[in-house]
Amino acid sequence: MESLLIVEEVSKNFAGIQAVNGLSVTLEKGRIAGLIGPNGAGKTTLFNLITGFHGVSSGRIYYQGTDITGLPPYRIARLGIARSFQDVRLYTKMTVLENAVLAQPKQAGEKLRNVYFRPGRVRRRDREFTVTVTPRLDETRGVGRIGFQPLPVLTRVNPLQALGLGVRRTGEFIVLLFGAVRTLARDGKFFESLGGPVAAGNMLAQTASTGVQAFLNVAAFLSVMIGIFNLLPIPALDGGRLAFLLGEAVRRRPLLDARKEGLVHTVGFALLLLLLFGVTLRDFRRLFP
Amino acid sequence: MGAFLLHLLVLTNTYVILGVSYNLLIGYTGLFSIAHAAFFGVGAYVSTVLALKLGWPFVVGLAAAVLVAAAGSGLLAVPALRVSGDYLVIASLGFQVIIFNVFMNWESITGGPAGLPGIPRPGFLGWTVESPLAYAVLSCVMAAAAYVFVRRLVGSPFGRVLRAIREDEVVTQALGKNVTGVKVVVFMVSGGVAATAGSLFAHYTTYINPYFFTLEESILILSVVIVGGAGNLTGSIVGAVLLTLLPQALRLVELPEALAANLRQIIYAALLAGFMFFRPEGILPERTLTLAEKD
Repeated sequence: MESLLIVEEVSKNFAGIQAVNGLSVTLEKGRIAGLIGPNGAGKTTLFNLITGFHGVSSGRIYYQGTDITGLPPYRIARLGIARSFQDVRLYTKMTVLENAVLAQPKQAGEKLRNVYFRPGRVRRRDREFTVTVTPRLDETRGVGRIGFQPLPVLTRVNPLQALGLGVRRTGEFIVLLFGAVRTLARDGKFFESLGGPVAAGNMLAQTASTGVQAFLNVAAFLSVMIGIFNLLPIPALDGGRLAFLLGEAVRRRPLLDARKEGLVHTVGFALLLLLLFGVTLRDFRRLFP
Repeated sequence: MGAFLLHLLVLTNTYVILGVSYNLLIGYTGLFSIAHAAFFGVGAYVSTVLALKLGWPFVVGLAAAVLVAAAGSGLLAVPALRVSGDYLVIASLGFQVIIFNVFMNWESITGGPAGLPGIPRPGFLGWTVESPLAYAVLSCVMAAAAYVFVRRLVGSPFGRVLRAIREDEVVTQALGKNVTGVKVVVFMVSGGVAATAGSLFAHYTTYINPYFFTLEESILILSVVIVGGAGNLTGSIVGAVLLTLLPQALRLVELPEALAANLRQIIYAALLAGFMFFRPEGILPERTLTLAEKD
């Protein structure tokens, strides 16, 4: 096994405090190694010694057979030893592209003579992007997260294609709707998340402020929702009547006589009204607490 | 009146060159040096001495001034960059004072406190830039050249490294950039560009003395950059225009001469302090990203 990095009897003394004392480590090519130890054990100091941010008090460090002891950090970095820091240190005032490009070695344009005398070597205005990137820094978890926000691409389609897409979207809505109902029922939040006409209106008003498309989308979703629920076998709704007709078709005679069926629907309608009333009352209480 | 406006234009252009070159240091790289008037002075003196004592043409003197100032700037940079932050201010302040004292005391060359009179107007191939209009045009050309030169630098990957150094020196080193080397280069470029302003100024006023290149002058150049907007080259032009016109505006308010000079200093100080408090990014702030709010 080839030794990539050899740390030989390295010590570091900070004004009398022995941070690292006669440490020797050999790292082999192709292996992943970890360094663990309690706070103040000198782990960070060792990394600072290897990457040249601190000078060693004694000992030598070899990388790929060359002595890198005492080299400035940028030389060590150029040899291929990359490092991160304990906290994420991004260039927060620079773009994601600039952050990325700065990490690229051997940029011709970083030499002034190329900038002025060999401009052909310097790439300029070389940014072609079709995504909006929102960099966010999560300091508590120490993650420099880059959120990619897809930019909606609007394309013009002919009416036939539009119809096809509409059908597909409706199918997606239905799947989404049942999925949502199932999740809410499973989590026992079905009743508490019910909203009435006021909540629906409020939701539409909110989305209307974000744009025509969002508004139309939500309106279409509500439409699909109403259509689907109307088809559910609930008395007083079309679905309820349909259920009776279906039963009649199967049994070849009415399930109940017309008067009794009418009563079922009336009771169902009353219950629905009660639900509507209760839900609307709650809507108001939520909107105007 | 026309001649007076042209005079103001030449002055403004001088400060545009100084502001743009100084912005490179404090605006883009975050190097707080306070010795810019020294490079301005070195440019003026080198150009003047070569023209007066050796009869060199303007263009050659200008080139020599740039080279000497760049070398001097590098000379300041190498020891000064061993320290950073506040210490750099002090180290450069020392440099400023030393250069001023050289101008004052090297009498055989600089003429000492009496200065050097009779500087010839610039000549190009037998044609002399004499009239106020011609000089104004020359100053515009030089200011534009300095602006384009610096703009090209800050817009290049080299400029990107400068901003990276300003934001986080340690990380920039870890990414394999020779931070010290880049700083020395940017010091030299900045000093060299400032020297062109010195040359322009000396051949315009035809008389220079050390008091043109004092610490107060350095602070004035600092004000140009801070008021205009550090890290924004166009801002330095705005700052140069404002700070050249301000004393003229003060002149409209008729004050005794002795009072006016002091008042001007006070107003510069107040302006600088005011901007630091209320608009530290200057009139035209640098265009940078602001990190999205954490949610």
